[in-house]
Amino acid sequence: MTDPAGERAPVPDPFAVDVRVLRDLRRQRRRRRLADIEWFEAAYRVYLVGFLAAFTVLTVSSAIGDEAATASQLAWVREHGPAAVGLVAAVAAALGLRSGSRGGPLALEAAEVRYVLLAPVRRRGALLGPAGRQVRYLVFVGVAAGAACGQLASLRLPGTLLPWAAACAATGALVAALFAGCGYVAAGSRLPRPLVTLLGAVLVGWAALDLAEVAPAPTTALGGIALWPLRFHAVEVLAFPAVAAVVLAGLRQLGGVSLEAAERRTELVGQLRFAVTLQDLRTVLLLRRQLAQERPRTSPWWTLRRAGHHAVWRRDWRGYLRFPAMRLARMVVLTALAAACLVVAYHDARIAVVGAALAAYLVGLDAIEPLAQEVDQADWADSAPVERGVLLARHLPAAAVVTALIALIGAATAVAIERTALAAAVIAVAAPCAALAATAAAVVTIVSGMPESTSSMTNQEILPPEIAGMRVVVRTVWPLVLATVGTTPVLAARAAADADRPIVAGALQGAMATALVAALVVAWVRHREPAKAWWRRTLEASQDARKPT
Amino acid sequence: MSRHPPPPRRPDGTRAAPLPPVALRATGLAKDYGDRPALAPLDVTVEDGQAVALVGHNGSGKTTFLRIASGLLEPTAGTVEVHGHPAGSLGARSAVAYLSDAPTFYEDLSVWEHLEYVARLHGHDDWEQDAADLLGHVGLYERADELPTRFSRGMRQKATIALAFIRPFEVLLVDEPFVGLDLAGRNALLDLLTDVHTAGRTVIVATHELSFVERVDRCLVLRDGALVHDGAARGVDVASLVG
Repeated sequence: MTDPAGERAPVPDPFAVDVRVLRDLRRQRRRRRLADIEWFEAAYRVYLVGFLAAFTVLTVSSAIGDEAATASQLAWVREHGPAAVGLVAAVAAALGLRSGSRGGPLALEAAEVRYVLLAPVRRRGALLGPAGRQVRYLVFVGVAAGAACGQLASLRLPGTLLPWAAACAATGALVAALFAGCGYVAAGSRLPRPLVTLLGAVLVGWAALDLAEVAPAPTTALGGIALWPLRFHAVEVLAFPAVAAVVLAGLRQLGGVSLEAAERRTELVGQLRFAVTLQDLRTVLLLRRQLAQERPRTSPWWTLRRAGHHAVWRRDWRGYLRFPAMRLARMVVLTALAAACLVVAYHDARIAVVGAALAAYLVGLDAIEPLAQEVDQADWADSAPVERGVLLARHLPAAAVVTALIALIGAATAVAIERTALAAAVIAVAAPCAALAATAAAVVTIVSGMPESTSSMTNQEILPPEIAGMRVVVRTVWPLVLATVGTTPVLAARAAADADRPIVAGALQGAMATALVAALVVAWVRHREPAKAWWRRTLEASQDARKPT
Repeated sequence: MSRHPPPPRRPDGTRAAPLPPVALRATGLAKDYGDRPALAPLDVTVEDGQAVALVGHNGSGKTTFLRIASGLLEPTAGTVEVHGHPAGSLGARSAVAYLSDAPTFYEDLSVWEHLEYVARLHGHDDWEQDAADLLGHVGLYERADELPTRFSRGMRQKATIALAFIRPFEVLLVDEPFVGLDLAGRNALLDLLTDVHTAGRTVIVATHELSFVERVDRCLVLRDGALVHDGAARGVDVASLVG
């Protein structure tokens, strides 16, 4: 309905209010905001961000180590480094396109959409300010992240800190600008979502093919800039004007942004940020799905016809059968990624198990969706004439079946990469363990976020802040630790191979840890509430005993 | 400058008698939310100066229709024009004021600052007296310097009313305006709507209040996104049409 062409008309429009009025009003508003700012609080935030950034760089730095790269590693970096960094740039471009197809990457205030974008002010003029600020911010983040990567590269690769930091910072800035530019192009020209998905897949696929030495990709030129201290190709300078052209094209298209998408994004992004600050992963997940318009199917993939017993089992499958295609595709891709990471962890960098655990954990969060729905509706669960733990535990069999299917997909991926009988045997042990531990970790995340039932209120409201803070940290990190336990068969198999012991037996030993974790999680779900109630009674009894008679 | 196009020419070059100017014209308008249709293809023409009530049960498509006409939503099919301009275009935005049922405010602006912001964004530079009058009318004059984000539901609705009326417009789109209002606020809004209508401007109000429906020239009844009645409100059992 809006007329982007009309928005860009060079002739003055009799209805348009001069955009300078808006700039003037925004300037006034900024002055007022600056006058109200709490400088001490702002300084504390800067301190926190700086501290976290320094901590992250130091941790990653120590994990990577400062041994000089071997000749073969150096040769690999020279040959494949540009394509690898180019793949990162392609992923950023694909993410930008995806964000743009959903009205991003700008996330305006709701009032800005209602009062400014509905006013007779040219939308491109109204949006240039926020978009410029966003590009500046993203480029700053890109420069900081790139410089940190440059610092790490300078430890292991030939060359001094300054050239590495400068080259990687420039690459980071380009990647960030590419993300923003692609987003604005997709949002302003209202590219249809399937086309955007296809474009993103082509970009990423092309960059991956370059990494596999099949076909040279344009993003490799951008990636080459990061490695200028090691090898310099003058033609790669063209990446700068190319990315600038994408950003300018995006800024030119801004007037065409869909208000419908912008308003939806505005509402959800605000809630999403709030949920992130509360470390409320379930809410983050639900809002992200809304942002992606990932809705359950109205009609299931197929209908369960016969009524019968096992209400929870049937309810779970009704939920699974309404999974949208996008979610199923994401689960398959993440499972394949986890499997690939495990293969890397077996042969090369053990640290890849973290990537595998993270990917599998995300799949696990989707795999236990019916259980999560039950947790979301805690009042309904409490009104059922069944103990809460029993009800939640009844959701686990369906989740276990889905986990087995996920394990099959992961195993198929790993077998496709490693085509030996020995590898197949190790995978047959490792894949179910990784999937099981990831699902168990997801169960812990979701169930621990369930509001306390009135019958088992614990004394957590009187916990001192230090303990409460520690509790939040443990609650956040613990599921990831559990998910990583699922990768022990792979690490144990590798250790066995290094020590010339039977590899499959090593993997089986590692599997014991996963089995134990799964059993403990099932027991925790089933007996969590009675255990808490028992703990509360014990505390009260000890407090009563201490009271003077 | 007139916002109405001149009447069409006859083949001999003379102009026909002026047609009643059209404030809002929806042609083949349809909207789907995913696989759920919200508006069936509908054709509606609202003449300039008419007061129209849009009624229907929850989910009948009233809000969707108004949001498309205001430019906030895009139709799946069809078009809406406001005084000849496509909805959402600059011309339409300068003509339409949209009073939403979901009050939205900047967190860091007072009511008075909101009024200044919105008025000036619509090219209304002598806004102060109008703002003071409006705030007095809805009973917010004493609280003009407060942040509306901290108001109660009813007070927020009153501030939204002031914001809709502070700017110049030809067509006023109002969505469920009486929700959360006390009697004074309700009467103030009815007065404002009457003033707007008396001044010859077009008013389209989506409401469940059947008592309000009797005050208007025309009633549009939507059921499941389809137009089931279009005509005078008097003498029609609107409640049974709504279903």
